[in-house]
Parts: sequence; structure tokens; C-alpha cells
Amino acid sequence: MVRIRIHGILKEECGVEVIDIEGTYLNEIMSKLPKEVKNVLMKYSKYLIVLVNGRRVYDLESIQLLPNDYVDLMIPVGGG
Amino acid sequence: MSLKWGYTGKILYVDLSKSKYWVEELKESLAKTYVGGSGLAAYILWNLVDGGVDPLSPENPLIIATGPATGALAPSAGRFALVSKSPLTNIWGESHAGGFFGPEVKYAGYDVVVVLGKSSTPVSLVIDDGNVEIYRSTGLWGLNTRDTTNELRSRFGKDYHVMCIGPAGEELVRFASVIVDYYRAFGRTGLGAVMGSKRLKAVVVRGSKSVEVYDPDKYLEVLEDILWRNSEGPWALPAQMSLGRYGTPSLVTAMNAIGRLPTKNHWTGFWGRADKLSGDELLKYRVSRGSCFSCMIMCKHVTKVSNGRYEGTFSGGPEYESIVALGSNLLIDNIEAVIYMNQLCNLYGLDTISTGKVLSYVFECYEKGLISKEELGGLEALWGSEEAAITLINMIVRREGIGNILAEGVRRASEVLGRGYEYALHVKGLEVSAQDPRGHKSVGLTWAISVRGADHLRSLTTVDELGYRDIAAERFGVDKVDDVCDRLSEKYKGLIVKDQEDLFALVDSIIMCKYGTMWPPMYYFDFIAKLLPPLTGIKEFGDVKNLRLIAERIVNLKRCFNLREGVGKESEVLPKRFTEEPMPTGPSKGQVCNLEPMLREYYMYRGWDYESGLPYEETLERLGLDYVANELKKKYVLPRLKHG
Repeated sequence: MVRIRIHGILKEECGVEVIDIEGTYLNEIMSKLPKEVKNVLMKYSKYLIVLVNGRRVYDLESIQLLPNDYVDLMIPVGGG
Repeated sequence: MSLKWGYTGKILYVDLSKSKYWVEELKESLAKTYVGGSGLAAYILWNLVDGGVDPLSPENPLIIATGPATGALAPSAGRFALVSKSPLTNIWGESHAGGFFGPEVKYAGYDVVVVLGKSSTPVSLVIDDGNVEIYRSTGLWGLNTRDTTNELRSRFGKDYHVMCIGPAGEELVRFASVIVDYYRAFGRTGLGAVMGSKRLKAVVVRGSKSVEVYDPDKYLEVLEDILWRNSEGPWALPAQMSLGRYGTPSLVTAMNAIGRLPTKNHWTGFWGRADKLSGDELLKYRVSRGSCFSCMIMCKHVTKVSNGRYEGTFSGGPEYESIVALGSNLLIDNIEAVIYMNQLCNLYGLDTISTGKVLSYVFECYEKGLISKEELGGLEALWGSEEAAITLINMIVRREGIGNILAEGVRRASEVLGRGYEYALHVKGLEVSAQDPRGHKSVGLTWAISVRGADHLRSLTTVDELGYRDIAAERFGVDKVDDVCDRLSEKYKGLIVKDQEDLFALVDSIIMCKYGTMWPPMYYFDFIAKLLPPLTGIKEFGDVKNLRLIAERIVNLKRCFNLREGVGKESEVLPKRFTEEPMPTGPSKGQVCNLEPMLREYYMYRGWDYESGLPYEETLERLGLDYVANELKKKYVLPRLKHG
């Protein structure tokens, strides 16, 4: 299981904070997200930041995940 | 030549010892050389004090400085600076605050106000357009900042703006803040204690003049560009949906996600309960959202607790730094307790960051058996104890028991107690801010080289925080992007910290907010070169190369101020927690900060000698700081570049 954590406005609009999903590749896992969550992510797709185990990733297709990995989804913040 | 546009062209001097004031002209040559704000204050402070002056003596001036953009309707330009020698660190002291006070100083007719001497009785300084009054304030002494502000606004009128100290400043707590219009704070470096030492309870200001603009049509074009950037530009939506909606607390869960959320006196950078302190959690307590003068981001929130133990708490913030210092740093996950302690600090006039780090020092020493229950007056300083934290805050502000030692700041406290040096987290005497150099390597360099100590506002870089590749490519080149954006790599961090420090030296002199310049990174040197010429009529400000030179000059002048105080390279060290203790948990697990390569690279870009820590004489000459070099030569042998 890979744990997806959703932050800030994405969390507020998705109405969910944590989702556990089975899968090997990041894009596969993202495709298994609930429809309402995907709709919100689509809305903010231009700004979406994806972290895997705290490191930012850009190419979702090539990222292979292990069980107990976690993925954080947020829009840009910074400066603290 | 006198200044006509963007500046009032006047500096107000007030001598509290002699109860007199006078006005001097701000010369155009000075504005061209140091811009205003922090840069101009650096020049004034350098010339007014000698090295070694006691920060709490009448000889230490207090400088209130605005910049050319202050009050000139440029969004994100409502801030102003407070500068003095810091009683906490004994070196350069500087803090900035937002709100409406800064523009009002300009409208009252002054670019800068310099307070000299010391009053024999408590007074307030009242500036009402051209009129200046030293107002007897014995009755205000002892009041908290809210009551003081209420009293002064009731006496003078609600259209007056008030910056004041609370009991902490009066008691000369070395990390006392100055509170502006109830909720804005000059938090860092203890400048509230400088006001307290002068028996200056408050500064009150009202103005009705205007800031003249050199080329209104061109200036409006720049303002329209700013409007576009804030409403439709590429950063508009993220800025509104994070900073605007949640304010700085939007950072709590994001920083936790990258393993950089200070937790348990910075023992680690990840906390499983951080979501209890998140921006959306705080939203439940928000009763209003506001902005600084002429700002479109509107990141300022006022919170209220309506039920329970902390019922009735009502204050601005807490901001990210305060949430961390008083929350995760102490393992306190009750957001209502954090809101309450933030209010307490604001009412007393205490810097929340330093306060939190002093408390976590006590908590860790208590855990390790280095401070006893008896020494704490029967208090059990257990991690997560709201009661212990609140009691200690009260003891500090009243200088009761061990509070009298803690009121000196964490460096002095550990020295006086002779224990727990390794848990006293500071750089140059300034308690560390809410970052962790193990999870964000450039922070280590930022803290080490900052003239005011462990500082998140003089050169904190954000391109490497969450990895903004486009900005990194634009500023540093495509070939460097991977390394620049890697927060766990030391490579190129000297380059980006130097660049950010220069940018902020300028930003703090104009003066603009860090939001818009630090994050989102909307405005850079090229933007400033467009903003300043139509505002000020000073064509030289339109040359990016010249702006960079001015910025370097300001950075070097402040560093030389510290060198004159005898504080240089030997002070550029980090607490061992960050260099020797690998991050124990979270996404940055196993990391330590290796400062040395970053410091070497930074020195190279600065034109400073790595061995001695001194600037090369040629560097100071290039920057037009010969007068500084001449004074430093009384104390040091300045190195010269070896040619050939």
C-alpha cells in the first residue's frame, strides 16, 4: 500500500486527507484515485507538486514505488 | 540635490535625553548609494555608533526607516524597518513589520526617524505631520501592548498608528519585540528592549501628506503589471490558494512533508501530529482576514478561541514561525494553546521565535536532567506541557526565578546556568528559526552568514525548498538546475544564497515584502529596475548591474558593522545538532548539514578571504566602502587579492 497525503486547498476541496492505494508505478496509483480527487487535481494540474518520500518528482510515469512509500500532493507554497 | 519623488527627503532626529528634535535633509547621493530602508539605516547606524557600544545604553540609536516604495501604492510595499545594535546578539539588529505604520511615517513627512539618547521618565514619541511631541507616558508603563495601543488611540484618535512595547521591553528582556497596531511585530533581535532602555513606550504617527511620483504614467504601467501578476499571472492562483487562504501556516504540513518541520527542539524535522497545527486547522479559528497597506495577497489572519480553557483569546496570527516555535518545537499539538501563547507573546511584546526556542531549551535540559524541578519553582517542564510553557513565558516577562536568566536569551542562559550548551540552539546569539539545515541544506549557510544570526528573512532560498526549476533555470542557468533544486545537496548553495541575500538587501531597502520576492518568486532585480526609476526619477536605479552593486554594498556594510564589533567568521557555525546529529526520522532521515563547502563557495562569490573571514580591500573599494575599510584597518589587517 502506498499512502497518499493531500494538503492545503487540495485537501479542502477533495474532502479527504489520506488515501491508501495499491500499485507499483506512481502514474498507476494516481489513476486509481477517486474520481472527485482526480477532478480537483485536474483543476490544479498546472500547479500540482508531487513529492515521493519528501522528494519532488516530475516524471510520474517512471517512478516506481515500494509498499509503505508515501506521496504528498500540494500546490506551491514556500518561504518559511 | 534634494529628493522630490518617492522620498520625503527628510530625516527626523529625536534626542530623548535632551527632549529636542531636529530635521536633516536626506541627500540624493545617499539615496543613490543606499536606496533607503535597511540600507540607509545601515549607513546611519555605522556613522552614529562606535564599535563596542552597549546596546541598552543611551548611545545606541533606534532607527525607524521606510523605503522609496513605502506608501507609494506598490503592492507588497507596506512594510518598514527597525534597526539598532541588538541587545540579544550585540551585533547588527534589524527587524521589519507590515501594516500601515510605515506608509504613515512617509505621509507625516519623514523617510527615517532616528531616536537618540534616553528619557528619564517613560515617554511616547508622537509625530503628527510636521509636529513632533515627546509625550509623558508614565501612566502607560506596565501596560500590555493592546491596552497601550487602546490608550494612545483613545488619547490621540483612531486614525493614529501605534508601535509600542509591552512589559517585556520594559523589563529589558533581550528578545522583546515591538508590536505595531496590535498585531504586527518587529519580532527579532530584541529591539523592544532597546525601546525599553530609552524609556520609550510607544511611537505614534499620523500623516496627511503624499508621496510624489516622478513619472505617474510609467509608474502606473508598473503597478498594472503588479496587478496582473497578482490576479492572473502564473503565481497568482497558488499565492491566493495557499498564502491568501491560509496565510503562512500553509507551510506547516508542506514543511513536514519534506522533513523540515522543527520538532522537539529541532531534534527532528517530521512530526506525525503536525496536521493538528495545519493551516486548514487554524482556519476554524479565523474571524477576519486582512492585508498590509496596498497588498493583494492578504495573508494576515485574526484568530479567536470561543470555547474551552483558552476562551476569549483574540489576536493576529499565529504565523508559521510562531506555530512551530510554540507548537511542534515543544510537542504541543493543541492549536488553541498555540493561539493563546502567541497572543500572550504579542501582549507582552516577546518574540515568539526566541521565546519558543528558550522554552524548548528548558524542556530538553529538564528531560536530560540538567535543570531540576526545584530550579523551575516546582514546574515540570515536560514535552507537550502547555501549562509549563505558559508559566515559563510569565516567569520570563516578569523576570521571576529562572525566568530572569531565560530573559537573557538562550545563549546567555546556557552560559549563566553552565549547562546544556548543545541544546541552546542559536547562531550568533539569535535563536534559530523554523527551518532545519539537515532537511534544507542552504538554510545552514543562510543561518551561518546572516548578519543578525539564525535568520530566515535575509537570504532564505525557496527555489530549492520544493524545487522551482523554471525560476532556478532563469536565474542560475539550465546546467545548474538539478543541483540548485536539490534541497539535500550542498552544491551551488553558496551561489543561490549570495544571490538571494543581495536581492533581499535591496528588497529591505526599497522596502517590499518577502511575499512576492522570496515566495512566490515574482519579483527579481529586473522588476525592481522597472519600479524605481518612474517612482524616484533616479535613472541609475534602472540599471540592474547598479542595483546589484548597491545590494552588495549594503550586505558588506552590515557585515563590516559586525566585524567592527569583533564578530566575524568564527561566529559562522551551526549548533552541533545540525552538523553532527543525523536527522533521526522522516523524509530527511540520516542527513546532516555540511557547512564548510557552502561557506567556501559563498565567500568566493562575495570576494571575501576564507581564512580570515574579512572582505578583500579591493572588494570594499569596488563597492565605494573606503570609509568602512579605513575604520576596519584600525582593528584588522585587511587582506588584498593576490594577482598573477
